[in-house]
Amino acid sequence: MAQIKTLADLQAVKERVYATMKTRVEAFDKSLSQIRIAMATSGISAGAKEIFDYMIEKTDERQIKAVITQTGVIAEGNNQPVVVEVVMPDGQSKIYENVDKKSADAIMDSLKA
Amino acid sequence: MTKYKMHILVCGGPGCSASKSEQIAANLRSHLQQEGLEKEVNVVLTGCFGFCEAGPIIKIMPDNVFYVKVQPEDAKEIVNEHIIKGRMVERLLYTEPSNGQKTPLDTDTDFYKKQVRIALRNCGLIDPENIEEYIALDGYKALATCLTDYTPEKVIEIVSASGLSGRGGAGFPTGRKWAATAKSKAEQKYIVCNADEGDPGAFMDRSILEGDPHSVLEAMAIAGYAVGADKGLIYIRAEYPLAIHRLQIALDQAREKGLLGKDIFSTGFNFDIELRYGAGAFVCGEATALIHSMEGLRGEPTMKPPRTSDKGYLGMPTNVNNVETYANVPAIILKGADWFSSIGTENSKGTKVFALAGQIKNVGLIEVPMGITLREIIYEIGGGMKGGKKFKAIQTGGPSGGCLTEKHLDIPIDYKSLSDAGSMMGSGGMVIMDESSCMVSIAKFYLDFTVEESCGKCTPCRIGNKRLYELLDKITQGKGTMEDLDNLRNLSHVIKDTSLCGLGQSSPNPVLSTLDNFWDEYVEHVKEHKCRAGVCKALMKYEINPEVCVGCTACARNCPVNAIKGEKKQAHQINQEACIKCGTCMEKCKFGAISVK
Ligand SMILES: Cc1cc2nc3c(=O)[nH]c(=O)nc-3n(C[C@H](O)[C@H](O)[C@H](O)COP(=O)(O)O)c2cc1C
Ligand code: SF4
Ligand code: SF4
Ligand code: FES
Repeated sequence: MAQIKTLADLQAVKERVYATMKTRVEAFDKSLSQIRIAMATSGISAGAKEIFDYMIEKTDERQIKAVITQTGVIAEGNNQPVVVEVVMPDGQSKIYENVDKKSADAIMDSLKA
Repeated sequence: MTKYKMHILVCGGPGCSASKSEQIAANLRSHLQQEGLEKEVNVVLTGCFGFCEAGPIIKIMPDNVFYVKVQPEDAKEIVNEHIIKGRMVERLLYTEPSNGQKTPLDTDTDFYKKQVRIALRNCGLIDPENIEEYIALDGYKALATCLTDYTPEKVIEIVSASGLSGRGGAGFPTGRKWAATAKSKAEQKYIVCNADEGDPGAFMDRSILEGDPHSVLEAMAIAGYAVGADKGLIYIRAEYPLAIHRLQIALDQAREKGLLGKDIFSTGFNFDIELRYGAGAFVCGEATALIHSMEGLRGEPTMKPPRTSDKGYLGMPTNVNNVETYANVPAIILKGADWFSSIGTENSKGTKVFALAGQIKNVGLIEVPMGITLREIIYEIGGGMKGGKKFKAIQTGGPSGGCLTEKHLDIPIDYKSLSDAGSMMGSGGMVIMDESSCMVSIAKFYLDFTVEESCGKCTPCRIGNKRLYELLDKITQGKGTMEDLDNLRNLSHVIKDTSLCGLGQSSPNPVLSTLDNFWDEYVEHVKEHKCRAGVCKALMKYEINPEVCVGCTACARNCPVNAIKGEKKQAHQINQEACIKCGTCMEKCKFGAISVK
């Protein structure tokens, strides 16, 4: 294990390890938007898992401040393939249906501002 | 490096580990592996979440959903339902006692809502056996900042300005203590961490050491820099094997990273820490006794002055602080004195960790801002009294503290208000009692403890406490007199005034506070030979109501000492001389003819 000899060394360890813990720590932060992806059986077969992975990777890459979680059925009786709900810090939420990678990009962009 | 999509935090605290949290973690890992998810979902064994009542606890992040009373067999369902399908496992959610609703978010529960976590900031969040997780949450940054940006004087100034005071019981201002040790001139100085935690029922310090050991190591190094010491000692009781194990791992990792040892952060500052084990005597938690015990001498307190800041371990200036006191320090350095002193009351700043126990719904570990009321602690955080019973008393401060009542529930608690009320902050034990507690017996319980734990050095403490105990015992036997009550009070004052150390000086507190707050109950024991709580067996009287008794003989046949006489189909009678008050007859009577007074 390399020794930590400067504040910069410490900062480097912090950043490297924090990245792996981000999803653990940041949900505590209520000022972040939450992106919830429906993972009921129909959602999974329709590719919800891929969208989930894609959004986790991209929000990180693009430094979009949001927490991504999976959930069961978003709106009862809603059988649309991939459903995503965005919950803003103020509690307002918006539901997107039929989400694919392209619309996922759009959703993420809408949070960037 | 893997960027985990989810984390399952499994409480590895004292309560939950006792109920198999390690097995839960192992099962979760194996099910995740079966599903090929081990690279996406991280299982972390953390320190205590505080909510020990509902343990074993697990928490799923970033969903922020927590599950209670989890069993190892539940692992499969949690992985299949929550992790894979994103559906909460309803049956494992916590039910809020105030409204009967299932609550997935721990932060929304009454238990957590009013808590402010500083000393416990990382407990239940990080893996205490991995220094990198501590660093990821700004660990060792306070030490780096002190060493590279602040002079030792500046560090002491910040700690002083924060208003932090000793969490080990006495509440002495920490900054002032550091300044005194800094001022002493000597070749060698020492930093000591008091992890003796001797109060019965207390587990605050233990939980910090088990859940976030580095916070204490970092703070000790900061204290070392501030006072000019390069050696630290942690005095920990040998009965805390898990805390010792985690400390050893933490020390090894900190040395490996160069965060302890020589030339820390390339500043020329050296600091290292050793562990010393205590045998678990309560008095060894007293600072001077602790030092003698570490020196290999008898663990007996000595006169102050000299203060330990002048002459401590091996005659050298020594700064002694409690575990929780240290755990606050890194946060104060990073967030500033103003931030810390904005929390709390006029004369007590910051937070205090308490161990809630007794007849309350949510037993566990809490951290609350100074100035919160006992009512908020009992009825909001604690969820109210168990079984809907009526609140009677709250004991704070352990064997050195006292019992407070209904009329104290609304005072904002801090060091001063608690001692004004006749109790003490102490190290943070809180026992909540309902009507089934007899206050004379409670006082007797604590005196029994102090008689056992007195080191015997001073006569008033050695003999006086024994006399107090005997008087209390006499009263619980129904043989007390009103004169005995006066004697209790007088003797208590003598012991307080003439004992050498804090043990003797505070040991009569449970007696005095119960005399003050529950006088009627003492008088009842003496004059009416009555124990309203039904605890003092000698004062109980089982009686058969001849109007109700049908003479079935069930009681007589079951009485272990043949104290019941009576013909078949005739009313029975209990021979009070022979009765040993076991209660069997009352249990066996199907007609409700037997009552106890
Ligand atoms: C009988 C007795 C037992 C004590 N036990 C402890 C203990 O277990 N842990 C502790 O930190 N302080 C204990 N203290 C208080 C210590 O003497 C000392 O005040 C404290 O460790 C100083 O640290 P602080 O200023 O950070 O609280 C005890 C005091 C007495 C009189
Ligand atoms: S069991 Fe009850 S009713 Fe029967 S003899 Fe005993 S006291 Fe009387
Ligand atoms: S309380 Fe026990 S000892 Fe006393 S009369 Fe009933 S059964 Fe016998
Ligand atoms: S030990 Fe698990 S919550 Fe306290």
